[in-house]
Amino acid sequence: MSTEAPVLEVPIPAVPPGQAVTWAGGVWSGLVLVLSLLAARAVFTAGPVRSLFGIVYVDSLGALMLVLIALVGLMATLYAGSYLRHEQKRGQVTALQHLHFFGWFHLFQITMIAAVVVENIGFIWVAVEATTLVSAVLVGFYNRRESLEAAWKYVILCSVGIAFAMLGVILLYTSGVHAGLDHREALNWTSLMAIAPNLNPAVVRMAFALALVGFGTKAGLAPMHTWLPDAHSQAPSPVSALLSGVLLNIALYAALRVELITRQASGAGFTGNLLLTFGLVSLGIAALFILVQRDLKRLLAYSSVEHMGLVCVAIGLGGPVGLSAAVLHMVCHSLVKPVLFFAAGNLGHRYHSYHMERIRGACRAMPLTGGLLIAGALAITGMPPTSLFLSEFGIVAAGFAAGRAWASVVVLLALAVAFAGLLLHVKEMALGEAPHGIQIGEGLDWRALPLLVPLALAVLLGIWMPPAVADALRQVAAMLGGGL
Amino acid sequence: MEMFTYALLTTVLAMVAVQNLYLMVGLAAVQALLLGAEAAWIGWQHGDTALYWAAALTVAIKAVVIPLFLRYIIRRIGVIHILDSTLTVKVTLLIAIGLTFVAHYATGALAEVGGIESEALAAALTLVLIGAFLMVSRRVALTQVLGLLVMENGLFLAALATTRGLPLLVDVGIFFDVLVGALVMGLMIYRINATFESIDTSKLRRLQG
Repeated sequence: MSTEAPVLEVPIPAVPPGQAVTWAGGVWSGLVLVLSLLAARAVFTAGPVRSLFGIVYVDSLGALMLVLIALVGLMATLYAGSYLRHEQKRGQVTALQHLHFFGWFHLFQITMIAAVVVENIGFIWVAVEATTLVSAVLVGFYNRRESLEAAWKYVILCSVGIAFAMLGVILLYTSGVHAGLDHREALNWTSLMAIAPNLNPAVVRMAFALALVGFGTKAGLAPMHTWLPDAHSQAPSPVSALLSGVLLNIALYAALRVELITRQASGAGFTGNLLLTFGLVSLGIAALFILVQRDLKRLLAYSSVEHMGLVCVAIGLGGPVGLSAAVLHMVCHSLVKPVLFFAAGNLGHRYHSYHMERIRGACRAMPLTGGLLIAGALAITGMPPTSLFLSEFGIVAAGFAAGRAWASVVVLLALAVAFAGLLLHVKEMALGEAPHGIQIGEGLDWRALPLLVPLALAVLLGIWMPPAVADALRQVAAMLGGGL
Repeated sequence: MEMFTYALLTTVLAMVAVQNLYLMVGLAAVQALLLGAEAAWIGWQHGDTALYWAAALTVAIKAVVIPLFLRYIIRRIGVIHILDSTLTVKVTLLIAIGLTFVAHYATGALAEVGGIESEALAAALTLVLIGAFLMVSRRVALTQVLGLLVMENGLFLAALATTRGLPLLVDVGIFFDVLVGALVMGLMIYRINATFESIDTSKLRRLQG
């Protein structure tokens, strides 16, 4: 901010406002992470936690989401500090915009947290819609033509989608009331689960179809994904990381709550087939679009569509193997995708562009970022020893176990295409000589942490899973299997 | 009850037909007013005080605050007429009437399998479908916000028709979203107008592939 200005009389604050905001944000996000971990420990050792007159309710699935939001949130906050400071130094962002950014950024995290700590499906809907409204402001943050276009498409398409999900919520509520639930608890997830066999199966199936289309729009499932590459590529990189890394999971989480009820009410066939169909379509479309991308952040966005498709396929196939793979996959995608967006943000700052043909010799110009880009790309395409290899292996195995070998074959084909496409693009960017005029060299300091920590965790989970984590993931998979 | 339903259908069909943004906002306000009245009426019939609150919020937010805010935005950007609709008024009206029939039959099917029967539910589904149609058929960004409001009105009516409304706390949350959504979208329109010198969303097509 004022560090470079040759000001003599005006007193310069000891800590520039931008830095103070970064610190405050970091401390706050760190606190959120500690609290989330404590809550998760309570949930995973002693069962679901309920408080605040029964409004707040965290079970194992919610606790897992909570930890992911808080962990990626802290990393994104740390990264956003250095990211915005860079843009402020170059005059792209004013000090006031910097402040605004952090306000909206943390509000965005709070709305995401709100979505996973309530059991009332109406509240979940309200929180998910709130995430759209708040993050749309962040998508349009740069006020450029492209970012405004992306933000507008995002807010309109997701709001329409989620309006249809509301219709599903209303149908669910109606069937709950008809089955004898009190008005006050007919939207509570636990109450609906308890009386699920008494719900009208036809109505609940319709509710699920609407909820899947609605929340699926927000989870980026094809063919409702068209807003996603725009929004995720136009948002500032720390926001892209949250949008891709955690928000997609939360949208899926909302659909899964309805799915669990529907499965209890009408059997796994209907919901499984619907999830499998949407998942395979998303997987296929995303794999093809990954091949032909020219923009680095759009490439990563399509990869997110691919991975949400994979999670849907895994849940659709079901069985213990499929469900554990789905849970592990959500976790690993949340860890690795932000790293890639952070690396993309660094490259964008250095090369002044996200056009992949302009990014050359990344490993030479930015050894750390370039190396992490390659490592992240290997991880996200499911190379061993990262944990995504385990989950993708599990998904393919689940297809064979469920007697749907054809689904496994489609998954393998799409994975191969996405693998080839992504690694080809990354190889072109990372290796070779940097273009003339690009600054060479990159310091190693705390700013590398948000890139290193999640990637290290993803690798660790692939090599040796701490017993506590393994137990937690097992509990979540059991819950997705139909337990409370 | 039925009178309200028919009046609601009239307002939504009129919204499809008019070409003046002020008039559209006015019709949306009337629609919300009718919706509030219907909620209050049902509340009075069943002695349900929660519905009075929902009715009051509907009128305050959807019939007063949001329309006033949208009028302010229209005045600031100075676009009043929708001249660039991709379809003619006659065709749009025909499609809207077609959607009314679709909604009617869909509710009929739902009544058969689910035992949920209601004339108002058909009207609610009509509002949702025509609201979605308004959003895709009109290119002016402001009509997309209005389409969303019509959809929200339809959802409120659907809950009213099937179960005398959602729990009040959930309704309050939804109203909060609607209010914040209208504010965010309104300000975004303002910025789009400042950047593109137009609020024609067909000009928003730089991002592809």
